[in-house]
Amino acid sequence: MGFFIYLLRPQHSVSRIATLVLLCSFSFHSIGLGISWISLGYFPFTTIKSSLSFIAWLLVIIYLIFGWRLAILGTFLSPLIVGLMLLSKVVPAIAEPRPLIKGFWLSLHIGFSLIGDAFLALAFCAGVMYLVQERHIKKKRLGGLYQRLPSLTLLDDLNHKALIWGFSTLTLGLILGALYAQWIRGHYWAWDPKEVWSGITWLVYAILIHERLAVGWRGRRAAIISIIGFMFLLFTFLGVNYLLKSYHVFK
Amino acid sequence: MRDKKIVLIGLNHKTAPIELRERLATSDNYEILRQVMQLPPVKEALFLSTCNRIEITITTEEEPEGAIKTIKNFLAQYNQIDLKDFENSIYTYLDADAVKHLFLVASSLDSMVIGEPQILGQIKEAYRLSLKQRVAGPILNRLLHKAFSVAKRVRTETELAHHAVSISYAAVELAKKIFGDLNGKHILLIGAGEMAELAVRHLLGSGVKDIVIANRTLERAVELSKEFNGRPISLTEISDYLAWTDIVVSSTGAPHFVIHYDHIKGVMRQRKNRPIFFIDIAVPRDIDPKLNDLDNVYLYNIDDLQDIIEIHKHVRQKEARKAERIVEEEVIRFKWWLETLEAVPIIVLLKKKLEEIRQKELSKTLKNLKHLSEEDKEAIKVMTNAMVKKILHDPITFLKKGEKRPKVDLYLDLARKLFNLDEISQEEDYHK
Repeated sequence: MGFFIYLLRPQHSVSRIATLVLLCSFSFHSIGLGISWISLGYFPFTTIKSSLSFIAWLLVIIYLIFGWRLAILGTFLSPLIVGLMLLSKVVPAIAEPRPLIKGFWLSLHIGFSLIGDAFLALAFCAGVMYLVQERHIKKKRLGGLYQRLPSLTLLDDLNHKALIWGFSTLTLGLILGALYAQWIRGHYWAWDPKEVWSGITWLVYAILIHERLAVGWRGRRAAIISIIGFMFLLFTFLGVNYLLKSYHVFK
Repeated sequence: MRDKKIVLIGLNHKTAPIELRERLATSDNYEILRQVMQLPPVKEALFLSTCNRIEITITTEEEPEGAIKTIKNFLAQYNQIDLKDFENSIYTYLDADAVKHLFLVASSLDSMVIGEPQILGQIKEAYRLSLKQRVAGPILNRLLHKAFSVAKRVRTETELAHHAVSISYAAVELAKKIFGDLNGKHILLIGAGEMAELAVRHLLGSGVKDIVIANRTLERAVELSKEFNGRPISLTEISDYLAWTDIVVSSTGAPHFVIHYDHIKGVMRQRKNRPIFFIDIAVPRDIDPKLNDLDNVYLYNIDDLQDIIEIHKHVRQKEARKAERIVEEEVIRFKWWLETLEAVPIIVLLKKKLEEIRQKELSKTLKNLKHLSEEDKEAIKVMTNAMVKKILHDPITFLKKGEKRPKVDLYLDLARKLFNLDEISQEEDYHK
């Protein structure tokens, strides 16, 4: 519902109007989510459409928290938000989810995983912003977004923090999923494609965090890895659903 | 009288490497000035010594070629350097050219970074020394005061003065875009120089607290440390501090790189990749440009900084032309003044001034004495004319005789001052 209004939001504007539009569309979006929650009786992130929309909603919250001090974040986050909303409209509709998916524990598994995804999307944005700003400084061309982008240290810091939060919640989500699988299906790990790809994605982020903390990776290399990690994440999220057979597929 | 010549002898960053400049720059400017004054051809003298230049300005009544030779030999002997080693680096200017050069230097148009403000203070200091030693006569006095006013004109009428300041401002802005907050960051200053010091001063003003200063001569490092409240180290200790510092400002006169790619590659591992910002102000460069390819290493040299500041190149060139024009204009005025320093023009001015007074008073008086006959009026005119002539007779004979006296210009200058002749000659400047 809020999607069209998100789309209207001028991406390069930091004006009050943009924020107002964002707030309006965010309210509509929240109301929409609330209505479907009540009418469905469970939180609406059980289909690929609704989970995309949910991540977009989380990103808006993140933006509203950080955006006060970092207006330029909107320029990089809003295309992502709009993209996610678009995707949620475009992807083929899938019928009612299986009753299994409505359980409380499963909701936790999905909820934490999606919150983790949102933070990792933020890390991705910070990484892209870092690379843009770094390029300005390295190439000694200080036009374009140079003035409006914050300092490299701040972007690296944002990337780092988003990574730690995202990785922690994602890990929690995966553990909950494994425990739930053990409870329902009798094994923690079933070599399901979604599980395998989640594992790979998790590993990419785990390596990045390890290198950051232990070796002192930072800046450009960390930004690139967090972007690569996000590509894996996207594939796990979307690609697996459509290209590979998996019992995780929302159906 | 014999013409007085202004002679300027010197070398600067464009003509001489730092090693040579350092060998010629003595710490005891007082002593060198005293000895210069002992040289027979020298009448007045100014000794200017900065990181980037050593210049001696003298006035002489003898053949300038001879005077130049004497000064060169003196420099060689005083600093115990073979004249052949530095003769090629030396430039000499005569009269109007010397005046022009001094004006250019004072307005910071001859500086390594155009518009850096320190040079004017350094010239004032040199002039103070000449005054203290009583070796500044009428020509130097006038020349220096003019140089100061030219510098002021260039500063107020062109935008060049902002140039150096905006370079260091740009460096600070860049540092902020890399580090965010500069509080608690560390600076390492290698070498010295007006521009480097200006940049450091700006960085210190932006919250950077800790500064370490490395110099070839520890003495200079200690000196600068006092100024910036930092810690002096020797050049060999730089390696130890590279792992610790955040911003490096380098401005040595070394003919080769002081900081190498391979070295910093190792240092970055030690630093756990914490970003480091190098500002290379030296010409030739102190820091290997390849450093900029390393992750988390940012390197800007003085040209990069000049390129990014808002005053673009063509504006700068336009402003530089404007400044040149101001200098040329002032040189022409100074030349007129120099010409009137000789006896004849002074006498002409003196006569003119008195004649003007005579005419003015005469017409005032005659207006009120309407009852006088034409003959009476004529008699009064003749009388006043005779008075003026009689009054002027002795001073004029004295000034004319002066050609044989060595300090003639002192009396000429005195005459100008006594009768306030400068005012007239300046008025004439505008009519010329």
